Amino acid sequence: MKKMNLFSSKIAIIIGFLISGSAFATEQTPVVLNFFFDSQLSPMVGLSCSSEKECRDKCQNSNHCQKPVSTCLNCVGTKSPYLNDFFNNAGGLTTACYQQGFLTNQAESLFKYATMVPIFSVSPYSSLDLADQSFALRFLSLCPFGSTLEPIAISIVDSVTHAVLGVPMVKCGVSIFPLVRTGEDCAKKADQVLNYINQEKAKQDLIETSYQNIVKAGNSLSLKYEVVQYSPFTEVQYLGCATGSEPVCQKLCHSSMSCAIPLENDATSTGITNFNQGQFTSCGMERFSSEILMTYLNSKDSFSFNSFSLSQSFNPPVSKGGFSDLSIINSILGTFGGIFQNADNAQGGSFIISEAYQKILQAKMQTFCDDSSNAFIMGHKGQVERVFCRSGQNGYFKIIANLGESCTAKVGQLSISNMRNLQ
Amino acid sequence: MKILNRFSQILGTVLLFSNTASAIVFNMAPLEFTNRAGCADLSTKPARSVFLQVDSFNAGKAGFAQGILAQKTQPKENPDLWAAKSAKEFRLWSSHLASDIMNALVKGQLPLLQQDGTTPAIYNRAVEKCLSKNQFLSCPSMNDLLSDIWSRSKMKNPNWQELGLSKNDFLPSKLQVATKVGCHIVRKFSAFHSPLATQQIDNGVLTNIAMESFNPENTLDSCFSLVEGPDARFTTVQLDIANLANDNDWNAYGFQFWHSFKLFYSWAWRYAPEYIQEFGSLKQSFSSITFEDSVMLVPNGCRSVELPKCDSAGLSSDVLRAAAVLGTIDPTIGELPERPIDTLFMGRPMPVNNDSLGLFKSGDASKWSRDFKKHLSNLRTFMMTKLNTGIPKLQIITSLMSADEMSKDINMIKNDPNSDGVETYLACTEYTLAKNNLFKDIDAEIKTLNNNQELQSVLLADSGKDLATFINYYEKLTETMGSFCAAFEASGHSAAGTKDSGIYRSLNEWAFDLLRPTMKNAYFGKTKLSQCEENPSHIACPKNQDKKYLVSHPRQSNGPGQEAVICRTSLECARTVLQSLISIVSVRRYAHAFLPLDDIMKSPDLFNNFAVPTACRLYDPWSKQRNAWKLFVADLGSALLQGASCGAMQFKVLELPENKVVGYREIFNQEQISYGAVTERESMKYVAGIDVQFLPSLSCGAAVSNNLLTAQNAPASGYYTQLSLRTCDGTSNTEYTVDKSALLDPALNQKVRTDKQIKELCFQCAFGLKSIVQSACVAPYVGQIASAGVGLFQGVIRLISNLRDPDNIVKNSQVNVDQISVSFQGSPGESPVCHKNFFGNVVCLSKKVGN
Repeated sequence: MKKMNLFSSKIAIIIGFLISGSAFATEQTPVVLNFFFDSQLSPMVGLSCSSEKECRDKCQNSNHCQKPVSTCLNCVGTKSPYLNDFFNNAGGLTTACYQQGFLTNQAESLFKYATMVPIFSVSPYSSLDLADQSFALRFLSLCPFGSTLEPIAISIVDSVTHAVLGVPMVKCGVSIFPLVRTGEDCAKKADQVLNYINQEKAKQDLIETSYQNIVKAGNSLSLKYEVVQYSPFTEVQYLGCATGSEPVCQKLCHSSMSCAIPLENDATSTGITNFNQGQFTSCGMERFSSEILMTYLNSKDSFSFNSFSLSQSFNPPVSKGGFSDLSIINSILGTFGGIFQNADNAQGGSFIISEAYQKILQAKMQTFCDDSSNAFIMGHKGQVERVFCRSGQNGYFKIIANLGESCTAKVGQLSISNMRNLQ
Repeated sequence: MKILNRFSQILGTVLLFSNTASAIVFNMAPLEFTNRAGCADLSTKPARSVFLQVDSFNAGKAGFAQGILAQKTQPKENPDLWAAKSAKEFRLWSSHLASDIMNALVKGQLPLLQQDGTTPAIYNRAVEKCLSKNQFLSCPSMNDLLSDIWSRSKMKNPNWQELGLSKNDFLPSKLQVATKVGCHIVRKFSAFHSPLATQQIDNGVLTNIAMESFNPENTLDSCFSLVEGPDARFTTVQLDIANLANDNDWNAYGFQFWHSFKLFYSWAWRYAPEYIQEFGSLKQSFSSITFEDSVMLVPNGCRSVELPKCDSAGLSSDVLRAAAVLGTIDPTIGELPERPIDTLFMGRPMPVNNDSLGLFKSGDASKWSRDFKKHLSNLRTFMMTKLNTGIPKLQIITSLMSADEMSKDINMIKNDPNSDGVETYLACTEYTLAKNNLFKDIDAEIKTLNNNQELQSVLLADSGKDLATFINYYEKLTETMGSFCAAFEASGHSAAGTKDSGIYRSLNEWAFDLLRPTMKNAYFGKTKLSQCEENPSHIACPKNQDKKYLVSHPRQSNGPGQEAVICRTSLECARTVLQSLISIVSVRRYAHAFLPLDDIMKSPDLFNNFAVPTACRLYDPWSKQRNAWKLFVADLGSALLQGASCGAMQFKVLELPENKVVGYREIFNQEQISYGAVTERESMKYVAGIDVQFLPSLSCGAAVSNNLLTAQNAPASGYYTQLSLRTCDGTSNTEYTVDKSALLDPALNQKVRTDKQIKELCFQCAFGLKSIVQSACVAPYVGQIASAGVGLFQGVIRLISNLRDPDNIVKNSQVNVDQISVSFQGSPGESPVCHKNFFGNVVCLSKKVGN
């Protein structure tokens, strides 16, 4: 639980700023589903929680109480018959059932199990003119007459393929109402949504169970791990799941074959710098555990790099106090100044590590692994934690400690039970 | 603005134009000039140059919407800037991805996936899982596979064998070595595109190309240019496969190449991590774009991206072409338009490569692209509206009232002395027309609406199931109307208004058009309303204004509920049911051209109006040439006969049979997707032998192989043992010796031999029958040879004049832009001399003037 402190400074209470929810907020509905935009202005879906404790109870930690809005297959344009139907008929043939408040209480399970895409009055998915006044009026009528609430229609998409399955509900303030077509029954529609939630929950539970079973059962799982350079700016952790290990990939990325999970470029550059600056010693060999590998794949703050990663182009360093070693890594910039700089200097160009320096780092990495295996340096939040020595589908870990760190403390800190909390 | 930094770096690796003309490498495929037959022939060969038409409208619109939403969070955000940024990034990244994928395929980093889905095996498994359900991107197995392939393509050691892929699943290394991928933005159609506007190369054309090549920046731009054209929404990007080591090898792999390109392109736009990461805050909307609606591949010239097929999808490219030029005045927007197959070719030959699409008329390429896309999207909207109004009406009527109830009500009119004669007349006329197969098979088409699930992807899941319900409903109504109308006529109830000729105008438009085909355009008033909508009290209109037969009460949240009258009498309801079904039928007729039925981008042969006629066997590029040679062979034969008088030798003129289509109507009625399958073959009249080894080549097309192998009256003649078939390329020495025993097998008489090696290959025939002549003419004499010479000469003259047909003898010559550019830029006092070489390539050399 100690690790939780790491997040304390970042506790953010998510408030859907598009919704003036307070008017409708009552004691019975403390949990509110929110659709909002993050600091990068990307669409997000979140669950409100009023305290750190509540966030922890509901979603382990505050970061997990929000996630990016899913991709919506073929939604921008005029292809999706569901969206065409919605935009043509919302507020006309399609109306909300205000008497049916049942879904409002499902906010939490909707967040956890449903794959939702919000539709605002001005929507990228609109098949109509964005300035269509008649639609704007019809859309507004999805929330109760006389209220000033701005409706948010909720479309459900397939969790794997992202194909639209329907637009079955609308959110007005904190309330969620079913959307029905003339002649459709409100209660039946709400039931359909509930059935969908239950089905998704059952699917997720099934994957989770098989995942837990196989990950905990054997350390000799057939997994292929690789850090792959996709472009000069993007590295990806590739996890191949052979026969028997499919649930691992299913849990991680809904695929039955393999997952490609992008690494944060900044995290890698910070990791490389810290690895370069530190003087690490091995705290001994650790048996391969797929569970440990999964913590690095699952966690947002983790990094992993191998010798090929050193040829990446990196974003300009974000000043976190740790990247003081620019002078060494960027020696190339001194030699070839101007090449990687561009007119837009104020924003900073990206940089690469010189070949000579790459060799030094490679040698340093390889000291932890035998010659037949490749070294991956892994860690969280810039902190170097482990070396993964991998040869084919076999491998072992080594926890490594920096000068001044005690191996005992670090091994304890990075035990499986503590690592689980990082996920 | 991270993107700009990155792009300027990427640009460092892309060749930019420089004004020092000496070293320009255009990375362009050779320009190929062809006439009609040549163009038709090329339609069966894979493109080496394509236009990627990028339409950033949806991206810009999504960006604008996101900007408005962002503004609510951060008031300083400007939706207009969001729209502009979004449109620009869409253009940049979609071009970038296209060139990335082409490079990966060319370098053998990505495998080739067969268009027919047969290989590689792992792909075949995904195809079987997904395409049996008509799915592609909405099928997990396909996504999983493409994702894994994509990952491996980036690895230093991809271990393809783990997926069961071998070297054979990639572009062969002989094609990888020198091949380059070219990528340019076309700002203006220019001399680089002259094959689209002219059939022949002359000095003027060559000079223009050379001049253009000295200042390419006037018409072309770098593929990743950060500067927008005059219309930021539309961009024409030209992608080229340049420097191919061997054209014939490309012909063997090109279609797979483009098919694989399309698959990876669609997948990667949505899921490739390195691109998603670059999309930044636009990633959700970018990966949600209906990408295939925003990009289109158009072959730059007569070659094809996909082997043209004579099916609904293939036919639709003809319609697309019409739309490009005609816009919404095209017949496709009629209420019940002609079927595509009925409009195909219309019995008149069309010109090729004469800029019929008006590329060179518009000043800039984006304007052309804009007009084209505008026509397309208007038609799309028009058809979606039809669908979106037709289906809900049917849903509501069928849910509110059963067919039996409605039939009962209709039958009650029979005994009603006050029944509305006009309405009865209109309803009976329409149902009779629909039922009568003389008129366009409406009935048959309605009944088969649900047969193949073409419309599935544009219908709600429920509506798909409903189609069957609607068809049943219609069938019951037809039955009722049949007996009702018969009784109506028998009772002498001639409708009050029938004598008024204006009553036709009260029919629905499709019925009016059928009855008054010459007045088609007169149906619509200026306001586009029918007579009864315009003037309900007209004497020839149903008197049903005050009635409320079928009423729906939609739930209304605001204010008092309003009732919606669906139809006012039972007969009006019956007419509405028919009318709505006809809307769906008419949408289906052109669905492949205008509706987003597939997850794969379209690649219509816009510049080759002979592609589909060739695929449908309405035009045979080789027939004239074949006939010319045929006559020559006959001439030659008589010459030899005359001269040699080898009485033992029997000549029979080589009559190469042509495939004839039995009839499109029958095929269409059977609702077969592919029209080309059923053909009738004349039996072949066989030839004895002539030594024609001295002739360069005698092309006789696949028909020969088919027919030789299935010849009905094949005698056990020794002549056949002398006949061999060779593949077309002339360089390959593979010979297929006709298997005599196979010919004699009666089981093969009806069936085209399906030998994989032989099927679909183009063959040349070589008649190595010196032996026959020798055996026939035991003792040749000198005088006989001389007189044979005269006959031969006459034959040659006739051959030459026949081969001079400007349209129907395949003509094809190529020009390499780089080569022309270099030869024209020689020093003063030098002028280029051009000639056509043995392979049909025009080559220019600089020569000193006066030398």
